Amino acid sequence: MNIGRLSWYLQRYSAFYFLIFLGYLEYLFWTNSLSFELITTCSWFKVSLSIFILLVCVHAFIGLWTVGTDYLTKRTLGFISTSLSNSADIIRKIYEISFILLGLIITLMYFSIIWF
Amino acid sequence: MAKDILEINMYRYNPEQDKFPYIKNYSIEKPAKDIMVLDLLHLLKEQDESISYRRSCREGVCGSDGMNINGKNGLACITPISSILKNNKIELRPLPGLPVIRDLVVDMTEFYAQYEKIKPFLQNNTTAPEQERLQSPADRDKLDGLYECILCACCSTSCPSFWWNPDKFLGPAALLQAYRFLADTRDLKTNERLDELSDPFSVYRCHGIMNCVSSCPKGLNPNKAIGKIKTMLLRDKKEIITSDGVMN
Repeated sequence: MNIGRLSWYLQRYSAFYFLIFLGYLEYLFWTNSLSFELITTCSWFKVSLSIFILLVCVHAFIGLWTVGTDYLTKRTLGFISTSLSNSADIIRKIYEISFILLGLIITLMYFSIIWF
Repeated sequence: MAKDILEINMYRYNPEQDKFPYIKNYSIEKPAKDIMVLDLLHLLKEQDESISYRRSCREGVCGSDGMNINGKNGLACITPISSILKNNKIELRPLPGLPVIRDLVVDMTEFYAQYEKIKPFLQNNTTAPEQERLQSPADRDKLDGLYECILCACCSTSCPSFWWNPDKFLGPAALLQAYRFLADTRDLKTNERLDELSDPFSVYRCHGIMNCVSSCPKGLNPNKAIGKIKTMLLRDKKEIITSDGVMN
């Protein structure tokens, strides 16, 4: 499967999963069933929450990568200044690494709460 | 200002004289008849000979005089001033996103380069029949709404995805033509054409905001064609091509 098709599917299917999972969370919230104990003890919930967190990172990565390749390019940064335009590739790499690291930190933090 | 005077704010830029582009204001008596924006430009050119713009057929066929009229792309020759007047003011700018050569004349190189990428010609390596490759009326109907594009660039230059990535995203005009050949039962290179479009930029950078549909002076729907290309890309290609090489 090529990257274009894979990212398209990942965006749509992850969004569908969010809809279902957030609907379920809403149901738990209004029935007073949502508790820290549930998050850390119920295996089914732990797995589904872990999938949710991973998919949030993937979904966000695709979205932010799209934003970066639109607005942090030689052409678009060239509207501001020539020096920024010349450094566009480096700026975009820093931007991408930043949100990859942020995604990793968030995932590790949530996983440590859920699983350990 | 009297009501029978038109105020025209026009983008002016001559790289040989001007360091930066600027907006020049012109006033002209409102014509008694409802005229087209192109006719208005002719009247302005009588006032100021240095105004530059492209035009040829003056009847919406050649696509030369695409420009941004009161914030919306369109063809000057088929846009009546009555349809765009706001407080007797008209703003004329070149098509957005393309480099300006002079005044309302833009450099279309990037636009044509994307058109060239989709190989806009029929590809069929089977033996040519004596007269012509025939199609059923139903197959021919599939090309309606696709072949009429005049490549005026009004759609592509109203698309933000094309503004940001004119070298990677093909743009609505090229994609409309890409689908024109994907939908043509006489063309046998469907898989190869789809392979060329399968990267994350060429087609998938379209987010369906439909500026292209709104600005097309011929009333075409590039967004619908892009949707159909995406459907073909997302399906298994083997389902699209039948054993005799004809697309379903």
